[in-house]
Amino acid sequence: MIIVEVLYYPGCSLKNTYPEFEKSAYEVCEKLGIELVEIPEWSCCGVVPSLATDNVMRHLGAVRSFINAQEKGKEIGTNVIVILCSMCYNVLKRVNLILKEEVDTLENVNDFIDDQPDYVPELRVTHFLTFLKETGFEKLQEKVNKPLTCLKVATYYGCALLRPNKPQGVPIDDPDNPVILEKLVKSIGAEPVHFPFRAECCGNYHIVLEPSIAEMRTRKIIGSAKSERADLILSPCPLCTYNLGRGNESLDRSEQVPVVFFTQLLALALGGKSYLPIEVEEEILEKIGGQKSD
Amino acid sequence: MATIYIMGKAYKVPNTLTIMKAIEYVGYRFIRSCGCRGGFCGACTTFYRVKSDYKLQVDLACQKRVEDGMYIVQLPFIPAEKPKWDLDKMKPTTDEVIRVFPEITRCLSCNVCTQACPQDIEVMRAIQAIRRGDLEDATNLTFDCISCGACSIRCPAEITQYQVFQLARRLYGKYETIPSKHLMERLKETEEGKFDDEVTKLMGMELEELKELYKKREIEK
Repeated sequence: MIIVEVLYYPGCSLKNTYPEFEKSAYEVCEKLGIELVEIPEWSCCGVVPSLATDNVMRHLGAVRSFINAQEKGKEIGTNVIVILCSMCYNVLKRVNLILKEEVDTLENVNDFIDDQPDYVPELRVTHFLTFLKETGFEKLQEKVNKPLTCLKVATYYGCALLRPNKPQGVPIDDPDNPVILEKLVKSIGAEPVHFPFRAECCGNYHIVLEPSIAEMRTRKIIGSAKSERADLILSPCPLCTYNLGRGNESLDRSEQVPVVFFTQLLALALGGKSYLPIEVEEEILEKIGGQKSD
Repeated sequence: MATIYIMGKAYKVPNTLTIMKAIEYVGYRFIRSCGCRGGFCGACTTFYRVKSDYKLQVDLACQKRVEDGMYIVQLPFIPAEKPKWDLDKMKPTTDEVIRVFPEITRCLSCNVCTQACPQDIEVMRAIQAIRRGDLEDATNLTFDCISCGACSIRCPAEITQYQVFQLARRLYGKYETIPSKHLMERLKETEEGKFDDEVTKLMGMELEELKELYKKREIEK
């Protein structure tokens, strides 16, 4: 049963590199009665160059997506965009806040885009985690039919969900002491592992030119989670997941910790398909004494 | 009559002519840049501005009629290297397209490419479709591309869209479409010589006989 429809912005990483992130989110939403309505003709969010302050050209990808969302939103009666990818969230959230605050920038952008309707900055850009929190973790808990009891989950935030603090409203939680992932993990019956490196940077795009920097950083993150006896690391971000994967590759097997998207664990706990690698899912099921997902 | 400016020099030409015919009317002879004269080959890409309009416009010289006050220049060749790719060794994914044409990740969604297209192709939408992993959409959107290259001349990200689309279409065509069973069967029959006798018979016919046969041919409905 569909309870609520929201506009959904997937981003390029989910469509190309990590389909399991999106698919598992669809599973989660199906279980929760949420309909993710993919924004038609969404554009690449523009990634970080989109945020150069003196160059409205960089905002166009984001704004075109907002315009398409705005028009589709009128049709289905919502102004909420949900985003799964941390980087897309960070970029689109910031562009939207800039357009809400800077009248000149909005006007410039709308003048430039003369082939589409004007953007009226009334959309609400939310991360899926925020959306789940607002829907109520207790409601999520009610739907769990495979509680992940005894599973120790290291809740990793990375940067894009917590920083920067300006313009105000970007972080999805207290940047110094976030709890949203821990609450989520508890609601599916697992045990959150509070580890000191949970909000450390994974090395970001250094992975392209200086992979050793990203590997060094993620090895520290993984080691920290391991020393707290985490069974796995929960990641909300495609880029962090990629870098953590590279960190794992540079470690001995005994020192590695599997990295999964939060939606994959949710899907499993809700009795849906997790799109986890078979060996990871089997390991989890062994820990919780359950059965394979559909 | 209309006054047009060919590489800066003014000429008076009848305003019923296409740009291509007007250029010939004033005495130029095309050695390059004329192509098929039918709007299909993309060889006569012409950039122009009309007096007191700031917009740079693009059209095919064989298709666009002259307007009074047109400043014209033709671009018979678009400077761009065509990267080599081996379709057999590729997968129909966006990652593969990006490997050959990494510059598509620089698309700013400015849509200037679309405004430049004489074929009215939604160029930016097609590039973004590829970024979304939707080669099917990109293929369908760019089916009418004649590779004139006007988009790539205007693109601030310096993407050579027409070449990107060719790769996208070929990847989609090779890996994502269902092979035509009839075509395969017909190819096999042809190779086995099923039509050899008929072709030989046609080759031996007189012109008049052929004309008669053509008139009486079965026309597919």
